[in-house]
Amino acid sequence: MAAFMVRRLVISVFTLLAASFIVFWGTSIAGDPMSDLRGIQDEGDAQQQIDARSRRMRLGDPIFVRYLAWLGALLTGDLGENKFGQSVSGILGPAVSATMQLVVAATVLAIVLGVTIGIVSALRQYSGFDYSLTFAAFLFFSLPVFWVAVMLKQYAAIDFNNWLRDPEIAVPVIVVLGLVSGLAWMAIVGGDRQRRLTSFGVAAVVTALGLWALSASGWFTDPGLGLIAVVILSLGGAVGATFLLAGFRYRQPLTAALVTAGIGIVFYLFSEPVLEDPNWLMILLLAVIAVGVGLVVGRYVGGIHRRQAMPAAALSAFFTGGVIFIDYLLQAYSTYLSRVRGRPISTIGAGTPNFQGDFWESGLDSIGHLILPTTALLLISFAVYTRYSRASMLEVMNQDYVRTARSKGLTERTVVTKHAFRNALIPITTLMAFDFGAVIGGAVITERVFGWQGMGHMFIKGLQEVDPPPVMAFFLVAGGSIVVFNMLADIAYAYLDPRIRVG
Amino acid sequence: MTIKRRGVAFMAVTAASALVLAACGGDDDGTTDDNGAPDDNGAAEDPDPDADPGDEPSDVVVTYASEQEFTNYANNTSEGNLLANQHVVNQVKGSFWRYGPDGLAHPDEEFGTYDVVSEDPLMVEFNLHPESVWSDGEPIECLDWIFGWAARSGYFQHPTDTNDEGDPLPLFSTSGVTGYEDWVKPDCELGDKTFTAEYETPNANWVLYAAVDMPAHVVAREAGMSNEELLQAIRDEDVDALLPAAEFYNTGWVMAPGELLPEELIPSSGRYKLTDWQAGQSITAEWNENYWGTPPAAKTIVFRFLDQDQQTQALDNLDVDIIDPQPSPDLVNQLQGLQGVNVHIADSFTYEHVDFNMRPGHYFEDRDLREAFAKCLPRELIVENLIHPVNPDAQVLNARLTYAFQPDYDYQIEGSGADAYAEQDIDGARAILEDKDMVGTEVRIVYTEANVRRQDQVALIRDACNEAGWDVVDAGSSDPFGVEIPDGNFDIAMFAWIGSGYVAGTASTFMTPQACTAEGTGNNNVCYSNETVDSLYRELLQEVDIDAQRELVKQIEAQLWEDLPTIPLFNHEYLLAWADDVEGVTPNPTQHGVTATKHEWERAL
Repeated sequence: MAAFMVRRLVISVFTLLAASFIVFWGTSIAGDPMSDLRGIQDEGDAQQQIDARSRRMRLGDPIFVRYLAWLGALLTGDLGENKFGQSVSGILGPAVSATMQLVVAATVLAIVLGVTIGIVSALRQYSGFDYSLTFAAFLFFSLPVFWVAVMLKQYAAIDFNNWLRDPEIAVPVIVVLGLVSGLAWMAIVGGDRQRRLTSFGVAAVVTALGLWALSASGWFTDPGLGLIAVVILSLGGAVGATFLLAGFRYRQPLTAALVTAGIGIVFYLFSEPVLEDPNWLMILLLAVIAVGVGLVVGRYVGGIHRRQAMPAAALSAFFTGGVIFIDYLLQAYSTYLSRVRGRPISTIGAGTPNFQGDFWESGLDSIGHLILPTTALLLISFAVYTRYSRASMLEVMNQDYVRTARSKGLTERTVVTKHAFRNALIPITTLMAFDFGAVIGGAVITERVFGWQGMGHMFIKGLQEVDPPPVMAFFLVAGGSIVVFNMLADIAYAYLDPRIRVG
Repeated sequence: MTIKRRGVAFMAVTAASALVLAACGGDDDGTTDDNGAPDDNGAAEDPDPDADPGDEPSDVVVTYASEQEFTNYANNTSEGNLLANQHVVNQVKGSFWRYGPDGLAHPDEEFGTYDVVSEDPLMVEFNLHPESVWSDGEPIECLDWIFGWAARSGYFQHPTDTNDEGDPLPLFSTSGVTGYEDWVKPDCELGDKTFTAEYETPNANWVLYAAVDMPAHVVAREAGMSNEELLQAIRDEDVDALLPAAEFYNTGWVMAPGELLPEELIPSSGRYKLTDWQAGQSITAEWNENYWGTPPAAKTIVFRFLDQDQQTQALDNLDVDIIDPQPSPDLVNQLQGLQGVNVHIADSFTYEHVDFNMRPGHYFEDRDLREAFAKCLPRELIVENLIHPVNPDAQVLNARLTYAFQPDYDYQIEGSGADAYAEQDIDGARAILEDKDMVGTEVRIVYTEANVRRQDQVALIRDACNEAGWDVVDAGSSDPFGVEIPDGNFDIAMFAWIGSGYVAGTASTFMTPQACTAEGTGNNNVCYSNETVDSLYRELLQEVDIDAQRELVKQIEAQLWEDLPTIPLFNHEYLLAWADDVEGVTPNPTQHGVTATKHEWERAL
């Protein structure tokens, strides 16, 4: 293993070195680095600036000499200066952090949602749900991201914000949304004609009524969940967690999950002093405590089924915590709305400049700025994950050991979650590693459209300005991360799949 | 000098340096332009004697979209001289003047006054406002002024650093030494609020050179000197003592994104001070509470860094309030379709033109052939097809030293000879070509090919001039200024000059170049040379009297229409759009931009 890694690393270093010269050379001949100083009609002052910049960029030297100078400085840890005299390492830091903020959430969400939906769609192969998702996945995958972004900005930001001035949902919209929801649920639930019709009807009516109630009660100007919604959602979450992790065959796991949710609700009633203006550390601490409480409850209520009850209760606790978190966010909404002049969804940037509010208001501010770029990135990379995980799951489900597991008499839930799911994830690991390696290079178009100046922006700007040092810094980080993550993928693969041996 | 006399003198001075400003020698109403831009002598412009200096600005935020991020507080160094920096420091670093929409220097008398006290030799007296202080409490005074001269005049040379030819570099990095290099070495005493600059030779544009810019006491402190020591080092021309000061001046104010220097390093001398910088996101200027004059209208101005293509939707969503992207027909339509947005479209100080290669041996040395090409140029058609979709009021430009939106334009083109080319004359062009036996001559038009509109311009020119017997070739290049133009490898060069209200800049374009080589031509890419023009310019550059200036400009313009080294086509457009609940926005097509008067921006609540 060690020898393999060393060999890989050495090869990678040489590859990067060769590529770095090509990138340097390409950037250097990409155009006129003085274009911003051309055509200024003055008494020769522009010429002085051109000369000064030419000296700073060493344009008198051949490209190869400039490259060696850059490489020499790099070996001493100096990334150089851009053509305006700013230090490149000072530019790189904020660019990396902007890209991370923008891309990490979207990538994680895409992986979680994509894998989940892909697996559900594999389990419901050739159902309406599967066909719809296949269609949607190919649709999203083929949409150009800049177009999606511009549409999102127009409809989900500008028009939505305009609508918020007088938030009422028109009756035809309610009807259409109800029908869409009915169709979606019908596809997911599946079953015979009777069952499909029932799910369609129930879902459509519930959705339409819910929307109407929200609209009529003015929920959109002052939203919140309130005690009743928190109770319903938490208990629902408890049932769902039990279904996923334990099943309903025995009573104890469900009891444990419900008890945990109950504890959460009681906490919610008295949470005001703790949660009025917390910080992320406290939220993290509370999440850990919640999971801990879930584990303890599962341990004691679960009895002999504690191995199923503990994770179910923990998940239930986590979910209840999430519901409470959202409830607090929504409570801060109306204050936040008045501070951003009634326009919560932003088309650009990472936050309202100089915004100072409590934890919840700042949180809403981040959400208002991140939601559109995250959605745009999510829609597109999510499609890939759905396809991969569906294919991988289908392959696993047809293997002999799955049949063996079934014939042992294990429930379908156990077969899927315990035996098939984990093995289906192995090929996806490679994909994830590639993806993470690539995202550090920035989402060039998404960054540009949403006014984020991350790695992609740094690269494009350096290229347009014919300014090699920032482009080279981008190359080092992006290229380096791809090399590293590729190697991590190989190692993880060998670790996850015992059939593979490297060396 | 009485107050009244000073006012008149000031107007004269402003006008004087602007040869283009015609009918306003003694006229008070010289600052309204033709494009509906508000009068720059608005209420907030002049200090209101009744205003209580304790007034506070209203607690609102006005947001401007800037494509480029800030880089440098010292925006008069060669590294820092970017428009993006200028726009941020407008009203942050106070100044005796700023560019108004007419391209002329408008005084800010709250900062100080300055005036000619002697015409021979030319002497300019500066009077800083007695209460003027940097935002850290230090007075603005003589040292700031004299240091400003030292930094920008190129007077001091670096003891060791040289350029490729082995000539010493200036000690202080400067974006240009013009004007300041003509000063007799100035002097004043620490604490002086009044000082006088003397010019070795009269300078028509003296109004632009006021020197006070960066906080010299910060330079002294960072260089480990006292203010007295810094002043003495400048007086004694002690370059070794000045080295650490220059080191700080040249690099100490460069900032990496988001790393705003602490306030003691970047004190403000204007109505705002920089308070916050989020890398890649925004930079914030807040009211400078130590400002001695009328407070600005809005307490907070935010610049958000945003790609031009995204500015329209950001304005629609009110993420930003004021945008000035590059205009295009689609963009203008889109903006005009938005609710609650004001759109302003007018001419800018950038003008498009075609230049004939007049290097020795080139056929365009022959004036008749230049005339033959000028006659076939479809100038009217270019404006109608390519410019009117953006700016319906645009017209063909008939002058090189004056723009159509300036009051002096009609006077300058009257009898200049421009009317001979007002109508396209294909037959006339063909007649000349046939006479010279030059039909079918290849004409390579070199331009920056990335520009779609220029491609269309070439296509229109090709259609028209091929009919007259030329063989026009589209020779678009990715780097015309780096390769073809300096090497003289073109028949016609088509590009735009970025001008200003001050014509002295055109001198380097039309005066005989040092040498007709890649290094020697400077702005005179075509190697045009005419002794009459040279002597007229020499006279103009030292002429302080406005009427004499106007006459000189008129003579130069007429001579240029006679010689035809270059044909002007049209002015580029200036586009500004802002949310209609923002008031006090004055469109400003100069390099200072709309942000020149950001202290007047206000949000109607």
